[in-house]
Amino acid sequence: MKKTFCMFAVLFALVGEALLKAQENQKPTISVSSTGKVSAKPDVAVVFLNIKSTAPLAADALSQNSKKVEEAKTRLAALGYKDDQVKFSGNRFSPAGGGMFYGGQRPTGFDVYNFVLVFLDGPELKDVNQLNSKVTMVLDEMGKVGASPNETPISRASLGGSSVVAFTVKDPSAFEKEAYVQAMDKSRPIADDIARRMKVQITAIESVTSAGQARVQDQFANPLDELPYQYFSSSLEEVPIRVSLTVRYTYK
Amino acid sequence: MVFSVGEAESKELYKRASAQAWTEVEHRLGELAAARPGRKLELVAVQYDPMFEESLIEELPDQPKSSRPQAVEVAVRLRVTYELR
Repeated sequence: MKKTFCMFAVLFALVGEALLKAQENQKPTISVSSTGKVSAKPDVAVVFLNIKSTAPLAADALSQNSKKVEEAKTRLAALGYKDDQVKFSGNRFSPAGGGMFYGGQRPTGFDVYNFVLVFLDGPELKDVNQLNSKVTMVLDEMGKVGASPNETPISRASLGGSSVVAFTVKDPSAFEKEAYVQAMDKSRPIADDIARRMKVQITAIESVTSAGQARVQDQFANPLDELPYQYFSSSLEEVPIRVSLTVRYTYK
Repeated sequence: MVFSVGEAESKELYKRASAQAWTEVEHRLGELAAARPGRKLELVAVQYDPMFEESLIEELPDQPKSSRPQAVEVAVRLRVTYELR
């Protein structure tokens, strides 16, 4: 019993020594978390629609939905939308009703759905009346083939709730950089303040870690997953772009 | 209704909260040192995290908010790592 205890003690001593050696190589640091936020003027609006068909047999639901999709394509082309301004997610199957089916119980039918995304990136983004006119035209025309507007949670919480139109920016890199600089500028005075209280001086930045902005996660199919964009807003005026950083400073 | 403060006042609030957190840290380190006479406590890392800095509501700016007109509160977390020598 005593021997076992001694072995443990030695082991602890070795671990302790290894830890000390590791810490000797590690410089003391002050880490500051900060966020920069800038607003970008959106250059793309996306209208979210869903074409869905339900039938007792999956093949029938698929056939019905494929016809609706073809008609939707024709109508959107007639409105002047080119192929690159429209995206269809492709037909997808789910049990009708979206309920839970315990113990291998078979659903009474199938839903086949296809997300439709219509992109608006012309002069209408500078004129809200023109934009609203185009959006209503798309919604009404698609309603004729049975497409329904798809409310999408585009932010964690918005005063407008979910929306069928989301605004985004094609290339956010310049705004991300601006937000990054803002976050860096915010972190340094805080680090200096902490250093002053510790009676030390900041010597350098050891590392900067960026935490990615979490997109809204949903357990159900989310049309946002079909988009190559990262930042969304329900406002035509601004798309908020946030960059969160942890800046680690060394000191002496 | 939501009540908030301007950017300058927000900065000042965070500064005061940070100072208060540091005083708390110093107090605790003092207690630890007193409990271990003859040993030295050496700071190796300090982590500063402002709490609730980001607005959860997209349309509102990233400033501290309150549902009460009397006071707007901010909180910061200082995580201190020290080495016992």
